[in-house]
Amino acid sequence: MRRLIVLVPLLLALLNVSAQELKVTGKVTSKPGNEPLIGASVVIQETGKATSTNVEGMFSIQAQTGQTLKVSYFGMETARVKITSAGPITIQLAEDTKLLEEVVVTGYQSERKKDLIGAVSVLKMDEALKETNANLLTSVQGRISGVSISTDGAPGSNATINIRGLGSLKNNAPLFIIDGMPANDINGISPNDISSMQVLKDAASAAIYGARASGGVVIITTKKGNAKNVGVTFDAFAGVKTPRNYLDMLNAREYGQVLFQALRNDGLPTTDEIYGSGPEPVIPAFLDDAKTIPSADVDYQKETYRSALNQSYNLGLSKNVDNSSFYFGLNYNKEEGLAVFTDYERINARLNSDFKVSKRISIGENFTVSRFGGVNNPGALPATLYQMPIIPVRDNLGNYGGPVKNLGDRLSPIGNLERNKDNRNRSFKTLGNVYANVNLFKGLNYKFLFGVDAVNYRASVFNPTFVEGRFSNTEATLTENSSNALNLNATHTLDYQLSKGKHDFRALAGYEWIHNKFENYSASARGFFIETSNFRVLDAANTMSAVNGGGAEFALISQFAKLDYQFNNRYLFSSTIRRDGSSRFGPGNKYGVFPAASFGWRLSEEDFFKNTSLGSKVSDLKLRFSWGTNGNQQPIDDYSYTTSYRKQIDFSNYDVTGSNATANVGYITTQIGNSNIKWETSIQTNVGIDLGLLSNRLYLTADFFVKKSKDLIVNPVLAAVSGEGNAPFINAGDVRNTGFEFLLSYRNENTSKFKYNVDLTFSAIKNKVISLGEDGQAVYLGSKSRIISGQPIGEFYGYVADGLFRTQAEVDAHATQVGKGLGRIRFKDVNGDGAITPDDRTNIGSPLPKFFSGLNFNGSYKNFDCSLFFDTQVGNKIWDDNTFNYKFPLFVANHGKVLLDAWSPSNPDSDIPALTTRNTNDEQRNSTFFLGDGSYLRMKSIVLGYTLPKNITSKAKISKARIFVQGQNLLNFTKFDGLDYEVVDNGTLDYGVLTEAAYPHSKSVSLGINVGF
Amino acid sequence: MLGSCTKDLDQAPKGALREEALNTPKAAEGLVVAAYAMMDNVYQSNDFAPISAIFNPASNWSYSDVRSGDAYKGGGGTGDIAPLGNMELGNVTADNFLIARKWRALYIGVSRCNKALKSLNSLSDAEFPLKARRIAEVRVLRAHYYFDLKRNFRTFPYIDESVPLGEEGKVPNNLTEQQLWDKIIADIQAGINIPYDGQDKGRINKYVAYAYLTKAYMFTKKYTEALASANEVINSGKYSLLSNLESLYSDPLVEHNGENILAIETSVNDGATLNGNIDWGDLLTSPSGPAYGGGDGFHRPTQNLVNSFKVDPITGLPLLDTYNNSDLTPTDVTTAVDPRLDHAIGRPGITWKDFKGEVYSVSWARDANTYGPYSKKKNLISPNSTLRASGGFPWARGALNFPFIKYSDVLLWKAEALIELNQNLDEARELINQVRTRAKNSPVVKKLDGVTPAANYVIGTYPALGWTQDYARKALRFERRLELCLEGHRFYDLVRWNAATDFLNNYYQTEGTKRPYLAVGNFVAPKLNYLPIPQVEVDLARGGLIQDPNY
Repeated sequence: MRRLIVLVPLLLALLNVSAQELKVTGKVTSKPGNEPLIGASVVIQETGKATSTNVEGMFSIQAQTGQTLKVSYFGMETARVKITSAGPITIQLAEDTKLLEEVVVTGYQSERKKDLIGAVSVLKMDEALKETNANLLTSVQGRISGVSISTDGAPGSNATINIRGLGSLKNNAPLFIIDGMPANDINGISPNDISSMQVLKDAASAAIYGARASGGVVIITTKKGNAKNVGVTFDAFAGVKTPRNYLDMLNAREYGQVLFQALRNDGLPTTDEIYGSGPEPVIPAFLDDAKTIPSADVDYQKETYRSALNQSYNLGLSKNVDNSSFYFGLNYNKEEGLAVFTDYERINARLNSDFKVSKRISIGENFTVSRFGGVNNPGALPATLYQMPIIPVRDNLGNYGGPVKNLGDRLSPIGNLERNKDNRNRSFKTLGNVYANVNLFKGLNYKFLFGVDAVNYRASVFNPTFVEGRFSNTEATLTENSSNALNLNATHTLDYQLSKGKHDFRALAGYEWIHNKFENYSASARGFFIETSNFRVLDAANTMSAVNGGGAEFALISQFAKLDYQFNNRYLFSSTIRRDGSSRFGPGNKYGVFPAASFGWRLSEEDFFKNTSLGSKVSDLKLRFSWGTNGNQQPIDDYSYTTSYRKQIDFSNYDVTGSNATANVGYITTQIGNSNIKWETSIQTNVGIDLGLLSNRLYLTADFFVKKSKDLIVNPVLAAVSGEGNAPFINAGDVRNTGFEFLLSYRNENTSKFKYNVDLTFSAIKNKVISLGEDGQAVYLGSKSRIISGQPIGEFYGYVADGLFRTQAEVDAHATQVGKGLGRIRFKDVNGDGAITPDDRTNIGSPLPKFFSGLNFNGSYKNFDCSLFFDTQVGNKIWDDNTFNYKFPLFVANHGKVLLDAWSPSNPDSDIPALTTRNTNDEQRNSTFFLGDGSYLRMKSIVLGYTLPKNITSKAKISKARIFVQGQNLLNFTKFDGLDYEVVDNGTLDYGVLTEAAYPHSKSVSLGINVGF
Repeated sequence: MLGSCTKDLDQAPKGALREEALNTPKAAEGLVVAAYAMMDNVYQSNDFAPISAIFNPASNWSYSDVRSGDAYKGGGGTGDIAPLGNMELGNVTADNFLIARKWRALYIGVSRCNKALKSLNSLSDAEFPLKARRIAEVRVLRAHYYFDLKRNFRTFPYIDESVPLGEEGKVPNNLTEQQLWDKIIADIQAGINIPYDGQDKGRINKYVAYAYLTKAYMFTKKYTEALASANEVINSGKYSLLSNLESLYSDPLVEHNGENILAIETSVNDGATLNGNIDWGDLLTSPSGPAYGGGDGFHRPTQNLVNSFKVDPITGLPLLDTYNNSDLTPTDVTTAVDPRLDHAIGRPGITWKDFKGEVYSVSWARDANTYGPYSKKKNLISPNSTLRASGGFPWARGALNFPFIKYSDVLLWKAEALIELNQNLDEARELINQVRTRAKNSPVVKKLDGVTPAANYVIGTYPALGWTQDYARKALRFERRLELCLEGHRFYDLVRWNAATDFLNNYYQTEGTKRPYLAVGNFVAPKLNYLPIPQVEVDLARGGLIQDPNY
């Protein structure tokens, strides 16, 4: 490589011999600024003859009049000039602000996007935010290569974000940096306040955040004042959402038919407490003997889910005078849940200001205060599917209809939700920082930043008395929860920049201190004479039943340094080193050192390249290579280096006095310590290419990476004989993620009336556990999955359901399988020993997709604009917990309509096992029967907008007014037959599990306006 | 504020003791309490703890009663906790998670005992005057956990306080069954000097140790020794049979009145997050009727068990050989039955304890189609007790203790020992009759009017005539079933009597005609006499544990 760099300029010099004609001279400068541009490419279009500008921006070249001079410079718009004389000609190049000159924040400093040599995704916020969502991550989902985001449909939306694969067994969350300070999450942030978002994906880019960066880093910068006069923007939208999917469940009559058919298949008398004892099920007038609960035929999904209203209002004020600026944002967002009585509400105010104190000193702050929270669903959702349809919504006494006799044990989902409707949780969050920038002398800047992220959380849960079918609660209870989280951080950085000729140096050194403190309290009480909202306080209760409280703290102290060097805009080099100390590790292992280096070569600036026919078509070509290490301490708990014994009332305490009303204090092991636990490290190598064609109108960023996590922090399952307590965390295991990702964007000529751009992101990541456990061969079992070396994390584990037995011959020919028979599931004799035993369990599929991709289209014609966003995910398996009741009538609950099509001798092609009330074939064992193909393609959003003509709006002193209509999730294509193809990780070893309680996603249509004054 | 010094990196857990703080009398007392606390088998795990103890009940209703012909699994259909359904039918495999949970719960108990012993051993008598007494208590507790391991598993590693922390996984399961029993018995014997002074009623005293010794000797067929230790309990005068069966089975206020010798001590309003340190393992066994605001309807009495309460209307004696020839129909209140039937089992039309709203009906029984109309009634708290944990969930849980050893059990062991030794058969008869007489004299279940007996209750005592060893043995075994049903004893009794194969295969056949899902049941001995070592433990031990060769 190095040899090549030396040789290439020599070769170029040789090639640059030219004939004698007219000698044209000139100067190339920037617009605005009129700064000379060094190294701009100057080409005679007709002959391909080329040169470049010198340090004064001057050039001279042989040409003939009438020919065209093409002047291009990286990051500038290309200019074409007809040659009329020998000059000197002055050519001004306008900045190509759209794409590459953009300044991005990459870690304690900012740099030009074009100089990026790591794998950094810069999100196009304006496009992402066309998709309006309460949760920023929902808008971003699918738009960044290498970044997978999964959400659920709950109001406010729970989202998990994962950058470049699962590198750690449990905690793969990235680090969020909001306006320069680390934050645990982005709750309470309004998407409207965000001006840019970058994702640092490779280790070299993230290494400056060393300690916590192994899951990648998401950098969010909020808006700054940018208008000369006070700029005012107002945005509002309101929309309606409905469930994206329903499961087809049996109705009251069909339930009886399925039950009776199952009994007949079992050779049992067709008799049921509700459906009678005749040959066919009969729906009685009343369900209970007291005749208070009339029979009904309820579709509980339809009763529970509604057309829910979403609304958001945002006001932004900004001003920038003499380099001092302020931005004020006020946002209100309210999202009703699809399920009745649930919602999410957020109000926040942000004030960002930057004040230039003197020529050398500026100070500023970025702060947001927000209050957010809502009414969650109290676990009512599974009952929307499984409540018996024959149970009425309300009985004749006005109570919610509940199960009686053998109608299951589920409370009415609506009753459950209604009783919970005032159980609102609230978080009050203050997030922000103050900073000072001091220019010590030319090129050297000192920055101090002090940040705070404080969250006060309150939730009260009141459970009133009620009667519902055979369920009742005769004593109301109240639990009040409160917690405080305080995260402080302080950063000092020194940033030095020096440009000398073709050399650009930049050095950064810093010190960071982070302290996290958490406290929580809760109190419970029982028995309320009066249950109205005024009495839902602890003091109104008859008995206090429990008081709990606790806390935790951790601290991080880090030093870091970074050195960047660029030569002639062509060779870019960057190296970082960071040392982190964490209180989570024991003495001797607190510190980890994380180095990284990256190299970039802007080939397109090389004359030898520019002057080739290929080179003249290429507007930008940069090769990138990076290597680096990042740390991870998230998987361990705050004090897990040491063995702790605690009182845990529910487990350690015991009434040794036999009093019935007290429990003596006991101590149990809650954590088995490992003083040798140290940082988990991920080492990542990234090779990338940035390629711009057609004056960068077609742009490709592609990366290939290998990310290897070593010293994986794992929490092994301990043999029972070791006793209790969290198993010691150990460093034992390696995981490798190999991936390929690209972003391909195209925009058409600016001159065209119809303007459009298209972006395609693509990511394919392969995950493999290389070794696990102290001997490298350990096996971790989740309830549905198994982690073992040689397989991806989360690989499902179980039997292979090999279709149904359709003929007696098939039954007879099959291996010994207890309970096998016609219409039953045939489990595969994987080890071929002639019997179905636990040894026949095997790896049955991965929850990780083979690839995922997003396609964004943005277009505008005159005053109309349109954007479309599609995303897809291919090749992942979903474990559908709903299969348990949906496809088997073995549990007293409603079932899927598919059971009407179950296998029978007269319906021999069905894939649904024959109906039975017994489970002799043990068909609910973990098997492929529960797995579905999670691949999908959807149109995630479509937005149509119309900007009112200027001549109308200017009369009202409005600078811009746009109205838009938006649709989300309107088109979905998937083979998955379950309720929802999007699955959120639940923090266990089981990935890709669609739980019965999953909050289904919605589709929505909304209407909105954007106004600027 | 500008960044603190590196001392900030030294953080210690809040509210937690670290190892170096364990060797104090207060910590030792706390560790001993925790060793007791595992009697309910409730442990912290990643699932719905403490509720998840439903999968490893200390009462053994799932491991014993559901495998014994006394109870069906119950719940919401055969798919509800399907792994238990497999065990019910004799389809027992090492990957059944219910087995792994039991094993884990018991070893947590063992581990807590060993940690307490380590701490106690580090103290001098002067530092901690109760040292010797606490050590003895903890050794009996450890025996309790190992005893439960022994009757459930044929083979397992024996770990005591001499094994260093962290090395437990290296201990092989190479002791013979006799060696395991010897260690258990040695630990129990450590307890026979603990004074009985009436303090701390929930703790182990010398008579608890003697009672436990009796139990261990019965399981090892050392009848002479069993007799001697049973006599220690009986002659102490500290224990007696309660005169009222309903309060024995329902009322937390009488649980220290002399019948319960060793029980899970439960409490409510004690600061626990879910209203009390209750017997979560039995959560699922409440009927789903209005008495408790709901219930899960597991652990359901079999028709076979109900039939066994039928008596000869003249003598009031059980129908030892013919009891199952015909069924006592669900609402039959005229056939003569042992009064204990309606104390132990919920039958349609019969009053439920002190619940006045309505009588028990088939609508209380969950999935009666599959599991019949009956519910367990025994050891569920009175619906009106002030010591219930709440007015709804967790249903019939509260401060009512679950008994491991009752005085009636000791009386019947003594009778059994005498019968097996073939000496003093009349004394054995007298002991059995003592138990029967209590039932006879106890107030019977009344109709809602509180006056009229709810059914035709008849019970008599065994006469001397015809009281041979064979007959006595048969009567004794039947009496144990009637007196102690649904308390987690039956399966272990069948195994120690070597009677499981005959009884259960006959049961699957006959009961299978009434509850068809049972028809495929099959009991294979000696395999099913014990559970296999959980597969996960075999795997984790990497060859260190040898599976029960029958699996």
